[in-house]
This record gives sequence, C-alpha cells and structure tokens, in this order.
Amino acid sequence: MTAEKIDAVVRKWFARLPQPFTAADHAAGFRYELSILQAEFARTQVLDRPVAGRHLFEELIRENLDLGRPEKVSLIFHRRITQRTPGIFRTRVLTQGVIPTLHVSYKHSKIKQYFKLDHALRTETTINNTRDFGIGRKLVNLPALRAIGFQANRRLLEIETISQDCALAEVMFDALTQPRMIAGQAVPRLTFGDPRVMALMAALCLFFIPPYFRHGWLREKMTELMGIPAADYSPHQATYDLRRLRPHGLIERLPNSHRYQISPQGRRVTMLFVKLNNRLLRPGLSQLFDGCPKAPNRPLANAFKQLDRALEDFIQGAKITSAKNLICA
Amino acid sequence: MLTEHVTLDVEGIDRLYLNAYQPRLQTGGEVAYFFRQHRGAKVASTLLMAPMSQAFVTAIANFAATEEIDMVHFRKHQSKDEETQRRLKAAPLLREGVLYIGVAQEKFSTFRVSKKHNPLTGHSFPWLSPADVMCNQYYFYVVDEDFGPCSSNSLPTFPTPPASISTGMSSPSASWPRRGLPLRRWTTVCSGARTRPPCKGYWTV
Repeated sequence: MTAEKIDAVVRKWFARLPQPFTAADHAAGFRYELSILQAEFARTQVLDRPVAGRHLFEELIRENLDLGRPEKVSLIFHRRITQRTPGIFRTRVLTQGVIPTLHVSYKHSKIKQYFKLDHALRTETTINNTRDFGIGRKLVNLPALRAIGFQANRRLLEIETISQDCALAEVMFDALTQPRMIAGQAVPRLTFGDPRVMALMAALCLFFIPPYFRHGWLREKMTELMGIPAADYSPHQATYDLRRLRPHGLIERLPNSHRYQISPQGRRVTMLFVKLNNRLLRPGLSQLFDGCPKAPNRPLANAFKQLDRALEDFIQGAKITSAKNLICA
Repeated sequence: MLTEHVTLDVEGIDRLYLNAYQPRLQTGGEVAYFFRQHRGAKVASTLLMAPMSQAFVTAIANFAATEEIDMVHFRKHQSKDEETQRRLKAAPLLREGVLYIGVAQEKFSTFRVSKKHNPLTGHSFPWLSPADVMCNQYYFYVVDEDFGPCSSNSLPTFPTPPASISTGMSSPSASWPRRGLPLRRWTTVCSGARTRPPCKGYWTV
C-alpha cells in the first residue's frame, strides 16, 4: 500500500461522491490535499500454540515492565530523549478480562502489544503526530513514517526476544570467567560477581548505549555505576577493560577508529550476567540472610526456615544434641 | 524463543487516518481571498458559506436518491461500527459502491465572522476567525474493490473537508472476500482494526 495508491483511491472516491467545491474552484487551485492524521503500523505473529503463546506474552510483560523508561523508549523509537522531551515515560499494563496489553508512549505516539484473538502476538505502533519524528504530515511522507513504525515494532520485539533468549552455555561461561590465551595474547578473565566486571557488564547492557562508543564514554559510565570519583577509574583501567572485553568477543572495534560497538554475543552475555546478579543473586542472598524480614513474599527464607525446623526435629527424634546447641555451649 | 513458535508473521499498515484539507483555505485571509477574488463577492462573510453548504447537502440528498442509497441518522451513542457491520453482512456480494450514508451531529472546526474596529478610524470591519461549531457530518461508507470497506466523512460546513477509508490491511485474515476468505472472518477483523469510529474530517485507510 503506497502513498500513490492511497491518493489514487481517495481521488477516485472524491470524483464519485458529491463535492462542495465546483470544477471552477478546482481549476483555480482550490484542491484538496491529504495529510496523515494518524497511522498505525502493526506486526502480527501467529503462534503455533495459543495457550503457550499467551503464557509467553505474559512472561514478556513481566520481563519488560521497564520498557517505558526514557532510555528504552529512546531505543525503541530511535529518538534522543532529554529532560525537555515532553510526555510521561511509563509502561502501562492494562488488563481486560484475562488479556493484558502493554503500552509505551513517546510524545503523542505509542506502541502497544497484546495477544490478539488468542492466537497471535500483535505489536502496534500508532503515530498520532508525525512531527514527533521530525516528519511532515503530507501523505508523501508515508514511506518515512512506515519505516519508523515498523522499525519501532522490530526493535521492541528484538529487545524482548533478547531478554527471552538469554542462554549461556557452560563452555562459554568458562571461557569468559577463566584467563585465556587468544592468538598468543593473554586475555584476562571476567569474573562473575567481581564489582568491576559487573559494572562493566551493566554499562554494556544499558539501553541508552550509543550505537558506537569510545573510551571516554565507558569511563564515564563505569564511574557512575561503581559510584566512585572519575579519578579512581583511570584511563589505563578503562583501556584494560576494553582490552579484556574485545578478545572475548563482547565488543568489536571499528576498523581504523577508536570507536567500539557491542556485539550480538556481547549483548546476550552482558544481559545474562546483569540479570543473574540483580534479579537472582542479590534478592536470593538478601532473603537467605534475613534482609527485609517484614517483606510479605520471602519464599527462600521461609523454605530455609522450614528446612532448619525439619532438621531440628529430626535431630531431636534421634536424641542427638544439635550442632547449634553444641556451639552455644 | 519467540521466533521458534511463530508460524505466520505479517507486517502492514493497520489503519491510516488521513485529513483532506484545502491548503489555500487555512486562514481567515485565505477564505476572504476565496470569496472576494475568486468568487467576486464584495465582502467576505460567512453568509456566503451558507449557500455552499446548502448546495452540498442537497447534492448529497440527490446522490442518495439517485443511487438508491440509505441515509441513516445516527442517534446519540449509536455505534457506527456496528451499523456498518450489519450492513456489510447484509450485502456480501457488494464489490464496489456506496454501502450507506450516515448522518451524525458532531463538533467541527470552521470559521466565524466577528466584528472588529479600526483603532484609527473607529470603523468596524468583519474578521474571519477559527471557531468550533456543532454540525451534521455525512459519513459515506463505501466498499472499494481494491481496498475493501472504507468510510469517508464530509461536512457541509465550509471549508468542508471530506474524508475516509478504513481496512484491517495487516491482519492475516483481512482479505477481501473475493480473494477466497469467508466474509464472517473478514468482517470480524475489520471490526478489530477499526476500534474507534472515523473522526471528523479524517480519511482512514
């Protein structure tokens, strides 16, 4: 469906339906022009198993509740967002019956995702004002608008797909976390849990990461993420970190340039490292060691308490003094 | 994970609201030019718009009578979409033509004349400025051979932007019945694609 075809259809019906302006008016140049008031670009993905598809979509929403943050909206719509950018940046999940819909806005435009007719994952970008993207409203701008709409859909799905596909084989984990020799060059390890490595990973999976970054950008982000003054993270340290990321294949250096870009493998690895650390390790350890004791949902802490009680009962039943009492004595 | 479970992937424009506008009638000065220079009126006034509106309304009525097309006056809160669905089902063999004409009273932005005074001479003069009015809007629900069901709305109020077409182009089952898919399925998709009625002065594709 091109702008020319649409224009032709509209003109065809203009000619057939009654018109308020006369032929003389048209001849004098008082002719109608078409402008785009609202355009909706959709991608429908029909899934093989509807029920599993719905569960998958619900998982997608759970995993991506932070899509409405400015940095992610910037990535989805490929627009720079500053403090002066108007609009509310938020993720809205609206549930009608049992079907949730995900809404993310940028200025007057929005992207919506839902599970359509229990069979398909539907992603829709609705552009209510073409000026949001620096494009005029005339119908001739439809191709440019179409590119923006479809790209936004693809980017959203790409982010979500990456989030779902995070998988790191054991071999790869070892290769990353152990020192290696690559092409005769000693490559330092990337130890999981090491604060500096974790900050490095977090910097690389930031959603406002530019397409290409330089040494200075990494240094700035690292100091922010580690919460240290810029003087405590020297340019040499940044160089060292870049040098250990590159041979592991997490970043690529552009030829004849000092610019780097994150590789597809790097995007997956860094996201997995950060998610494991932030979503599993930290909350899990917090529960195990009685962090936030008044929090209502602490399944790990409750399970371990039950285990402790069961062991105590077992020991009492065997008439053996518990290790705890021995230590106290 | 997602790509492994996708059996059909369709990408397309779902809905497109177009605004048909007169680029040379966007300001009070341009409207004044239209009446005075083009139509030869002595004074630009909204009185000159009334005959145009009347002629347009008469032309619509004549068109409906000549083509034997129903004119439906929508009541308050009546769903235009449901009415269109019902009529589409009733005319499954219609390949191209006007399904019916709907009339609804809605708000529209137009021009009104106000009196202003010259600060030097004190003489009054008419001034055309934009204003909102409630007026009848005429919705032409048409079926296009290539685009399927469309809607076009027009206002008799000057400068009378006509309007619209709508289809569920991107939906996998949103194909025109002549392409072999059952009408029931097709109309369902159309309903989903057009979740809100065409707005005033817009073209929707």
